Amino acid sequence: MTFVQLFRLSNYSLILVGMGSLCLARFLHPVVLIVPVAAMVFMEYPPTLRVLSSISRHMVNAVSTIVFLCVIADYVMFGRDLIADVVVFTVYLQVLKILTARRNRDYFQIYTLALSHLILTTMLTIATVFLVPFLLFIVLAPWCLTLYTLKARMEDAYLGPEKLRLKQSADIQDERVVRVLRSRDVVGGRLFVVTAVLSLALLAHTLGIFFLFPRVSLGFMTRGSQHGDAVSGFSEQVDLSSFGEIKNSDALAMRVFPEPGVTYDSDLLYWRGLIFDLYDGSEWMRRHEKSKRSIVSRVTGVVRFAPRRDGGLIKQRIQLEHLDTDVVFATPRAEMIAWRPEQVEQVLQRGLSPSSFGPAIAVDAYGGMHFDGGMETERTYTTYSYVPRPSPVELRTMPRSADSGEIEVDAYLQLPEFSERFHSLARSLVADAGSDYDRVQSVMQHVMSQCDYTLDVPRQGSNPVESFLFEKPFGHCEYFASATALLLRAAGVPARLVSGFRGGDWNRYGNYISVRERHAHTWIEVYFPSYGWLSFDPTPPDASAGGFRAVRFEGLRHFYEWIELRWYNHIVNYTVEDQQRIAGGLLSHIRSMRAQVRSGEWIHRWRNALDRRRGGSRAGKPAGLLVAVAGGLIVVGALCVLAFRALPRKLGRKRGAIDRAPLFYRRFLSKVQRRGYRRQPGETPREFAVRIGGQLPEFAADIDFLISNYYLCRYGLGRLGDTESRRIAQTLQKLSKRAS
Amino acid sequence: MRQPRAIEVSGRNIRSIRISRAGWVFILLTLGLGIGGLNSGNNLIYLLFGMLLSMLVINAILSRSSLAGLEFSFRLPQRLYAQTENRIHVEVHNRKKRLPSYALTLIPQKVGHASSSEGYFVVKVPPGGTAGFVHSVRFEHRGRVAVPGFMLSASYPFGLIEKFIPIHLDCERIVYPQLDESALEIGAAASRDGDFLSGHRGHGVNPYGVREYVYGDDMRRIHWPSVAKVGAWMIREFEREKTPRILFNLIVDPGPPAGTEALGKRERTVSALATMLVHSIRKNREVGLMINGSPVESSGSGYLDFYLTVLAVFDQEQPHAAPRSAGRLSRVEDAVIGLSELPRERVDASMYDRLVFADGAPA
Repeated sequence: MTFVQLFRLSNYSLILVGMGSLCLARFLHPVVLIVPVAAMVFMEYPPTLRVLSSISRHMVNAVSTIVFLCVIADYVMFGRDLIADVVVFTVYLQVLKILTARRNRDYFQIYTLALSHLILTTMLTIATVFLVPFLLFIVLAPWCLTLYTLKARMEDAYLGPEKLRLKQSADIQDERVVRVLRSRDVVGGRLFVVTAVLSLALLAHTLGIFFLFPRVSLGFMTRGSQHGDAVSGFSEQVDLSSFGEIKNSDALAMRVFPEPGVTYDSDLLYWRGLIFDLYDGSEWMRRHEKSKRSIVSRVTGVVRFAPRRDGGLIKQRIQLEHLDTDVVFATPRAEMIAWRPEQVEQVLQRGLSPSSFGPAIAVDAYGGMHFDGGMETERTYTTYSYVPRPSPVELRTMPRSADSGEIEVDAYLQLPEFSERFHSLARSLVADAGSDYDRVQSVMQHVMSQCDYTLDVPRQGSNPVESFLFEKPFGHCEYFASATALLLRAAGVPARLVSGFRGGDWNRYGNYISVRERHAHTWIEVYFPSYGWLSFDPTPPDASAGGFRAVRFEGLRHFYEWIELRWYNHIVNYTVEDQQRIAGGLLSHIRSMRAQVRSGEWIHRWRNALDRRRGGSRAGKPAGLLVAVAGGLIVVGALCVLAFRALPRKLGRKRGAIDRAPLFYRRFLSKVQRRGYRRQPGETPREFAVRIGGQLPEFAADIDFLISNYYLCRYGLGRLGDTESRRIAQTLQKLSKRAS
Repeated sequence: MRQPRAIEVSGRNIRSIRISRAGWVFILLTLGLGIGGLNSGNNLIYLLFGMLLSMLVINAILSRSSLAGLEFSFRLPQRLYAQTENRIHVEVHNRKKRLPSYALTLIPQKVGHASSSEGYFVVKVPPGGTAGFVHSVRFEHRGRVAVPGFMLSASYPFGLIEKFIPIHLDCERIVYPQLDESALEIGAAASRDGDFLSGHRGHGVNPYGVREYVYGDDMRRIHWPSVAKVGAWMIREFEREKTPRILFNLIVDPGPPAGTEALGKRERTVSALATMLVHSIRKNREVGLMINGSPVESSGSGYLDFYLTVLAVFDQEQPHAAPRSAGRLSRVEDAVIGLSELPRERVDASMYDRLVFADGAPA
C-alpha cells in the first residue's frame, strides 16, 4: 500500500470511528453512516474531484453558515437538545470536510471533528460499548497523526510555505512530493511496528493518567453527568389481571458477589425486594406504602437492623445494575448493610466513625429496605443476612401464629370476596394438617401438582386466582404465590407475598452471580412464632426460572459482563475515594515492605516459605506463586526481546550484503565499531582493514589475515580450517580485550 | 583538504522546543477536556483527557528519540568560490540499532553573508542506514568564513511539538574570489594565447625550418614541395614547445575600498585576476603573482590554491603595500599582465604586455 493510500484509509477509518461512536450511543441511526461512506467513495472517483474543485469556497462557506443558523434556530426557537444540535452540525462539517479536504490543515480539522464526536459520545452514554470506539481511536489516531506529520512536514520543506499558501497541496505536482506519496517504502513494516508500539504506549499512559489525575467535581455544568439506561425487569406492582406472553429478558439486574469459598444452597439464592399484604381481587398492594417507613440511619457507613448474631451471617456484596427502583435487595433476612465492608469492624466493635458515609436506608413496615431519597448513585453495598433454617419438626411444634399475638394477624388474613368453592378447597386442603407448617406444605403441594408453569398467561377473567385454581391452571410465579398465599389465608394461616429475585448465572470470570431480569420472582412468607416470617416458594421448578442455568454463548456473555463490571467499577465509577484507597494501600504496602527489609523479616519469611514448600505444605503457595510470576515475567521479557530482534528482519529490513557475510566478519565489524571505527559506505573490506591497520599497527597483520579469509569464505566458497579459525578467534578476543 | 568532522547528535543537544500550530490547538483541546472533566466528574471525559495528554507526552519523548543517535557527515567541495553555488554533500547516518528516524528537517543557518536554500526534509532514515542530500550554499564575499551549519528539527510522530538541535560544522574555510567568465574572455585576450615561441628545434607543432634528410629521419616528415624545388630529400623541422611564464600584477589602492563603487571595482579586479590565474594554470602556464609590485612567493604543486587564498584575503587580514614602480617588475617573464583598479593615468602602461582595468577594457 502506498503512502497516500494508507493516509486516506486511516483518515476514513478515524472518521467512521467518530461517527460510529455516536451510533453505538444510540444517538445516530447506523443508516446515517451511509452518508460519510458515500462521500468517501465519491472522493476516490476522479471526476468527482474535478466537480468538487470547481465549487467555489465562498459557496461552501455560505451553505455552512446557513446550516449553522438553522441549528442555532432549532435550539433557540424549538428548544431542541443542545447536544443533539451540536452532533448534527459536527456530522455535517465532517462530511463537508471529507468532500473538500485539500490542504493539510483540513485533515487536522477532520481529526478534531472525529475527536469531538468521541467527546459527544461521553455525554450520551457510559455504556461499555464506549470502549470499542475509544480503543479504535487509540489505535488509529497515532497512525493518522504520524502520516499527517510526515506529509505536512514534507510538503512544508519541499514546497515551502508560500506555495502551500497560494495553492492547494493536492494540486501541486512536485516530483519529490509525488515520489514520497507514491512510495511503499516509507510505510513499511517497521512503521507499522513502531506505530503499534506507540498505540500500546499511548493506552498504558492514558490509563496511568486516568487513575492518577485528581478527581475534583466542581459541578458547574453537570448536565449529562447523570445517565440513565435503566430498564427494569423488577416491578413494584403485582397485577394478576394482565395476560399474554411475557418475554424473557437477559438484561442484567444486579451482580451478587458471595464470600469466596462459600457454597450456596438454593434457598440462599433469594433476594427479597417488596412485601405485599393487601389483595383486592386482582392486584396485590401494600397497606403501609409510605406512612410507616422509618429511616434507620443517615450518618454511618454501616446500618444495623437487628442485634448482631455471632456467626451464621451470610455476607454478600451486591451491585445493582439497570434497576429503576429505590428497593434495596438482600437475602432475607438482612441484619446489616455496609457501604464499606472494611469499616464494619471499626464501627461496630471499636465505635469509631466511618471514614466515608453511604446513603441512608429506610425500612418500611414490612422490613423491606429502600434507599432514602430515591435511586442512589452509590449502588454497591454489602449485606449481612441471617437465614433461619428451622427443621420441619421444630416448625410443627410451633403454636399457631394466629394465636401468638406477635403480629397484626388480621392484616395478613385479609381476603377479598371469593366463591364458596375456593373456601371449600382451602378447608379440604388443611383438614388433616396438625400445624401451620403442614398446612403450608399441603397447600403448596396442591398448587404445584394441579397447576402448570407458563409465561404465556391466558386471560383469567375477573377473579384470576379462582380462574387459575379451577379453570385455567396455567400461570407464572405470581399466580402460584398468590393462589398459595390466599388459600393459606383462607385456612387461617398469616401469609404475604414477596417480590424480588431468585437464582442467577454464575460468572466464572468474575466469580459472581449475574442476576437478570428474567430472574425476577414472587414467593410467599408465612409467619411462625419465634422464627418470624419464613419464605416458601410454591412455584414449581422450571428451566426458565431460578438456579444456575446454561445459556447460549454463556462463556462469551459472561466474559462481556465481566468486562462490563470492570468498566463500571474501575472506569465509570472511579472516584477520589478509590484514588485515596489505592494510594493508602500502596503507601502501607511500601511501609510494611520497608519495615520487613529493615528488620530482616523478609528473609525469614522467604526461608519459611521455602521450608514449607519443601515440606509440601500449602502455606508455601504464596512464595511459589511469586517465584512462578517472576519466572514467567522473565520468560515473557526474553521472548519479547527475541521477537523484537526478529521483527525487523521479517517486517522491514531486507537482507543486505552484510547479513550474508560470514559470522566472524560481522563480529569483527561489531568489535571495531565499538572502538570507534566504522566502515564507510563505498569502502571495501580491504580498504577498511588497511585504514584500521594504520591506526592499530599491533593488529594490522591479524586484521589482514582475517580479511583475507573473509574474501576466501565469501567469494571463494572456501571454509576455514582449524588453524585459521583459532587465529581469527584469538584476534577477535584480543580486539575485545583492547576494547574493554 | 580537511573535511569537517562527523557530528553525532543526541537528545542532550536539544536547544529549543517549539509548539506547532496544531500543537496549540491540541493543547487547548486537552485543557478544555480537563476542565470539562473536573467540572462534570464524567470519568469518560477524564479518559479522553488522559489520551490527549499522553499524546503530548509521547510526542515529546519520541521526537527526542527520533533526533538521538544521528550522525552527520559533510563533504565540502575542494574550493569554495564567492558568488557561486557551492555544493555540500550531507549524509545523515542513523546509529540506532532498532528505531528509524522519521521526518527530519534541516534548515540551513544564516551566517554572515552566506545564503542557502530553504530547507531539506528527510522522510526516513532506517536504523543503521544513511540518507543524503546536496546542500548548496552561496557566499557573497571572498575571504575567511565559517561554513554555516544547520538547525535539525523533528516533530515526529504527531507534529505537535518540534525539537531543535543546532549542528555547527565548526569549520573555517577560505572562500576564493568569484571566477568571472567575462573576465576570462578579457584575460584570454590579454594572455597572448599561442604567442610564445622557444626559438629552438624540437618536437612541437610549430614549423621551425627545412633541412636535408639524413639517415634515420622519419620518412613521414619529408617536405615534398622542397624536394621538388631542390631536387634532394628535404625534411621538415618543428620548434620545441615552451611553457610560457606569465606574471600577473594586481594594482590596487592600499587600504580597504571606500564606498560601494570602489568595492565593486576591487572585487571585479580581483575576480578577473583569479579567473585568469585559474585559466592560465589549467593551460599549463607558469604563473607568478605580484600585488602592487610585491611578489607573492609560492612553492609546491598547490600554488594555485596558494595564489587564490592570497587573493581571497590580501586586503582583509593585513595591510598591503602601496603600488610600486612598474620598473621593478621582472622582465624574464614571457608576458607581464597588469590588472588595475586604479585609473588609467595612475598606471605606467609601458611596463606591461597587457593591462586590464577594472572597467574591463584592456589597455
